[in-house]
Amino acid sequence: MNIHSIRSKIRSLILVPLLALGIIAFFAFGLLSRREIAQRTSMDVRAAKSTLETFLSEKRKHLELETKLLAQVPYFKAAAQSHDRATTQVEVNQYFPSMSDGLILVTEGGTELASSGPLKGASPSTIAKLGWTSARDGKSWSGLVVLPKGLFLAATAPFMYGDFPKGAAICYSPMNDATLQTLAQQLSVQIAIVEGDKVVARSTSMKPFKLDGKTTGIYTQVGGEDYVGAYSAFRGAGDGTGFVTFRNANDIIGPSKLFLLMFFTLVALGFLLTAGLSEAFTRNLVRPLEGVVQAAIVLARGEYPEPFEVTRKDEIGLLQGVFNRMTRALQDHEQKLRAMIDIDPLTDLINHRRFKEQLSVELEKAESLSIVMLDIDHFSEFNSTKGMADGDTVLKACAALLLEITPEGAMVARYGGEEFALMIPSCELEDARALAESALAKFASLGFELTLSAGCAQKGTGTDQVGSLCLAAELALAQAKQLGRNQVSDFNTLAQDGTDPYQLNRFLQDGTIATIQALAAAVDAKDAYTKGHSQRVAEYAADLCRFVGGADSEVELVYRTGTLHDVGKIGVPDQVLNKPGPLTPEERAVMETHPALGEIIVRKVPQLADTLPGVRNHHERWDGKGYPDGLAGDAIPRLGRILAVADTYDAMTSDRPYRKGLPVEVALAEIAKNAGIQFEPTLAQAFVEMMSKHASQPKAA
Amino acid sequence: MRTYLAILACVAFSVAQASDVRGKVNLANGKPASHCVVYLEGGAHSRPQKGAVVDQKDRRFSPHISVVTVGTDVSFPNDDTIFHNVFADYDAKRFDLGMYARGQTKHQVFPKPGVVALMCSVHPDMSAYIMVVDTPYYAIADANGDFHISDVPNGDYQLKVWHESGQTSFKAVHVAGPESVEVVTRRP
Repeated sequence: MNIHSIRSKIRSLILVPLLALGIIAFFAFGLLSRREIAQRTSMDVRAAKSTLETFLSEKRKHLELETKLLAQVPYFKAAAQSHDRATTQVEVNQYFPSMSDGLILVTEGGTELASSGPLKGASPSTIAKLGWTSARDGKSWSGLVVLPKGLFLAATAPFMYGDFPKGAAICYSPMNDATLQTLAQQLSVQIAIVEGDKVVARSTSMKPFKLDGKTTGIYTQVGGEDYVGAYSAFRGAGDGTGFVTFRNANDIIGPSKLFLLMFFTLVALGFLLTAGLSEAFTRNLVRPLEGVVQAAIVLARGEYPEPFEVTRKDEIGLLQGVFNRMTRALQDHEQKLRAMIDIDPLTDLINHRRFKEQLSVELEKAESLSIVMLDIDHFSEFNSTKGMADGDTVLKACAALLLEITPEGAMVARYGGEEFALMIPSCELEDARALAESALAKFASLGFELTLSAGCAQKGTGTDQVGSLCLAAELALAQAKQLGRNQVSDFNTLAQDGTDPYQLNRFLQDGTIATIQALAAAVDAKDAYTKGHSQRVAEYAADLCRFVGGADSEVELVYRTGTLHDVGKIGVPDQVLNKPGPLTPEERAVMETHPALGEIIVRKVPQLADTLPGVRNHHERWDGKGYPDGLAGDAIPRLGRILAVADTYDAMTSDRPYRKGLPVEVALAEIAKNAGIQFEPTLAQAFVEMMSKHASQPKAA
Repeated sequence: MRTYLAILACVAFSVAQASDVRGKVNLANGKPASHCVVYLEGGAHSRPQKGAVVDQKDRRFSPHISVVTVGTDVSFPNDDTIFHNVFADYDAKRFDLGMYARGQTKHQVFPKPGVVALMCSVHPDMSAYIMVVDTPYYAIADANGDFHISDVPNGDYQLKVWHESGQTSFKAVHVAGPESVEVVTRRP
């Protein structure tokens, strides 16, 4: 997740509408201001136009009035008839016009008689003829006249003699650029007089321009500047004569432009302010979120982040608080899960894994330590007859019992289904055994009609590690089971001199055929008389197998099994193994546990699984009176049957402390005699036959 | 501006030595040249008249148009209730009789032929013409432009017409009996 996307989202959420608002405002304001400008221009120009119209109209009235007065002056009237230029000019010179800038007197036919003002002596035949033209009909006229000398506002009146015009008086005022400029300054506008689309005069501050035939809504470019104008026809003048009042568009728009500038400055400032605020807001929001995201990443790695210091009271604070709680809950949950892995939910005892873990720790530090393995006898049968619920009750009761009897510092574990384990630090084997005995007794008194078997083992030279110590206890337990259950057995055959002949730890670490053969050989070596027994049995058995036509692979298996068939004797106490005399029934029973114990050891090496039938069943008898399973005839694995012959033969021919080994012939006869009783008949006969052949041949060294 | 002289009829009214000349004068626009002055030149010179008067009454000169012969002394009585003045540009110079009160009379001799436009310096609307001629044969047409000059000796004359609008006309006429002349004046 990209945390910056939230930041930009917030930013755009605030800025985009603001920008849109600005743009809308811009266009709205632009539209309004254009209308405003148009209205104001129109108003301004109209006002100026009206003022100018008034001015011109007043001016014209004055001219008309003066002209009329002039036309009534008797001497001028007389002069008009007398055509006396000199005298008339004198009269005219004496006349002081008050309103007009000059006057012209013309006679019948439009000939100038006398004149004054700017047009004096300029032969203004046009204006003279104009004056006479209207005077001839006895009429007055006023208006604008375009002359070579410029534009003039003029008024004419006839000299009437009786009913007949005899000449005309003309008063005029120049409407030149300078005049317009003076007017323009007074009116704050630019003025142009037009005739058709021709500009005939303009205020001097205006550069020359063309109208392009427009007389309404005039916008014109003059010297790169926009002018807005309004046209006004001039009353009484010729067609197309009028004036246009102009205003510089900038003068009108100027204030609006300033306002617009201020407006957009404000908008821009607002924009920047909002942008800053949104940035600050975003930081305020996103930074704590980033912290939470980082913490979540830590959590995802399987670690627990430091809890947040929650100072805020908003949703961010809430999120941090919830995140803290979530982290804590996960931690608690993990601890619970760990506990669930290590603790058996039924009995609340620690499990097999935890027991070994703890045992490993205790073995490191404890000087002396014993463990006890306990197993409920025939529990699966109990379960199937009484039901799982009752079975669980038994298990719970047993667990409670064990917890009750174990001393402080000891540990009780549910080692397997119906198997329990005790670890008692600082405890000698004898004390462990006593504890086991008391457990058995108390369990028996619980009234379940069930019994316990127990195997004890002590930390020693060869059993100073978890594997070896547990194996020792397992062997002891197996022995107890073999001896008839409801009893305690122990594993105390280990050398006390600090040597470790069996290399049990090595075997458990490196479960190969070599280590198990070494173990078996070490077991043989415990008893001087059985030294080399396993090797010899292996050879006899292999020979026999080959003799009866066994395949090479079977021969090899037989040989291999032979080398380790007595490995279970590791669990038989030395005093039984080495007893210099016949064994008591109890001792015999202990001795007869060794095939079962052997099986337990061999099972530790998976690749030796094919040897198991031989290891377990090499003491079965053809007639079913053997041990440990009491199998008979073909039910006995062939491997066991072959080994039985070879084992018995070697046992008979070996010396014993209490007797000398039997001679070969006697032994073979004994085997032959037991064919079909103790041994498979064909095998027994084959062995005898084979050995006889060997005997008849010269013995090899 | 078309100028033409049309003679519609020419009937000689012959007496032994003298005849009457009658006629009608129209303006260029076809309207009758009312009160126009018609006179014949080329005959005998005139003698000054006696008792020629241009009265001033009711802010008017009366008569509006009068004809006098050369050398005639015209009297200008003020018969009005107010002051009047008489002046005119005549013979390339101006005469001015000055302001005078009612009941007074002033005189002016006109020794040369010509048109005299009389003005009153205080009443610009007052106007009158005096036509000074050097012939005894003249007349002022009536409102219809009809004129009648009697006892004109037979002979060749220049008939001249002057109208106050400024229109004039010239016409050669041979008087050998009673004659009727139609004249159209022309614009100046």
